[in-house]
Amino acid sequence: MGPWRPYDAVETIPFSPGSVLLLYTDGLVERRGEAIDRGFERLRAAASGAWDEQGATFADRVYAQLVRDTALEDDVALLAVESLRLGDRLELSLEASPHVLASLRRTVARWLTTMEVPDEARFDVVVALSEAAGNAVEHAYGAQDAAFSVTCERTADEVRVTVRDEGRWLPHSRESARRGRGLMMMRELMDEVDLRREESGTTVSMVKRVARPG
Amino acid sequence: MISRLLEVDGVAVAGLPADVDAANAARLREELAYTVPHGSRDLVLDLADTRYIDSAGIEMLFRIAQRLTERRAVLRLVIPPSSHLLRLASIAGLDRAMRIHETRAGAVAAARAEDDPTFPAGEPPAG
Repeated sequence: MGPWRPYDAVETIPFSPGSVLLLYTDGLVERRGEAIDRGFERLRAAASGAWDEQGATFADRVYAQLVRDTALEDDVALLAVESLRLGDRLELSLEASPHVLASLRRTVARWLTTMEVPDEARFDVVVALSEAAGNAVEHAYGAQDAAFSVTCERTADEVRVTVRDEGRWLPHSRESARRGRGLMMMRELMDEVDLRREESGTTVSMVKRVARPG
Repeated sequence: MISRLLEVDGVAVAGLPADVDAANAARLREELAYTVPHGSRDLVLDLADTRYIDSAGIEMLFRIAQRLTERRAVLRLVIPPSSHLLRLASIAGLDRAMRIHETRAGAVAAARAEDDPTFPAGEPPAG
């Protein structure tokens, strides 16, 4: 790997949901005694063949297509970045660390935009969800490899978000002032807030009533 | 972490990042405690670039406001009128513990006006 140098030509193309970006090292397309264009053509054919196949990951399918006929001569790195097409239901499993909160908010904000939730309601849902997630992170305090899950569902007239963790709410946490305020914010921002504490963990389920336009 | 800390007409102004939450609130508070001048000077925190703030971030603001109040100074937040944070600030009661300004110039002018009673309130300084 040489030092980083700026590219001479930069082109911007849209990366729309459902698209895949393939990143690879030269070993994937280069063959000794062959023009590089043939390698590119082979990769294009492999990618479009892999597109319609099922099973494995897209990167694995492209790789399988490529090595089907010819063995590779060099080591290869191949990375596929997929922009998920978002449906009416979003399910996430996250590490119980405060560092996931910002990307959780961005992912859910993007999902809400796709679900035609207007700006103000989107902000309310994202903030309330972030509070519930913050509590889930706090419950796992000190636990190793702890995770929590987030489910978001869109129906014709509402958005429901659920945060589940496997921890328990401590009655007198040192953070109790913050948590009291967090709960109050959730109740102000959402139409329904349901908090269930059980032996197995805590579930926060919240509803925002917002009709689909049209 | 603090995106910018500057002094505008003798008033300390710090820009807060896009996200102020449990991941960075403690560190922001520490940074502000170190960098903010002592004495009874007001502090302006600019939230114009801040998109989200959670209860940990709000707690941090309350604590800074309390410390400034003890020194008879005022915490001033800059939140543009179009920002959703304005609604959140009112839900959380931030507007009762600190002053909220629409623009940075307005916040700085108000801070200077309280520092110096001869300074006209509500107007940015000339020049």
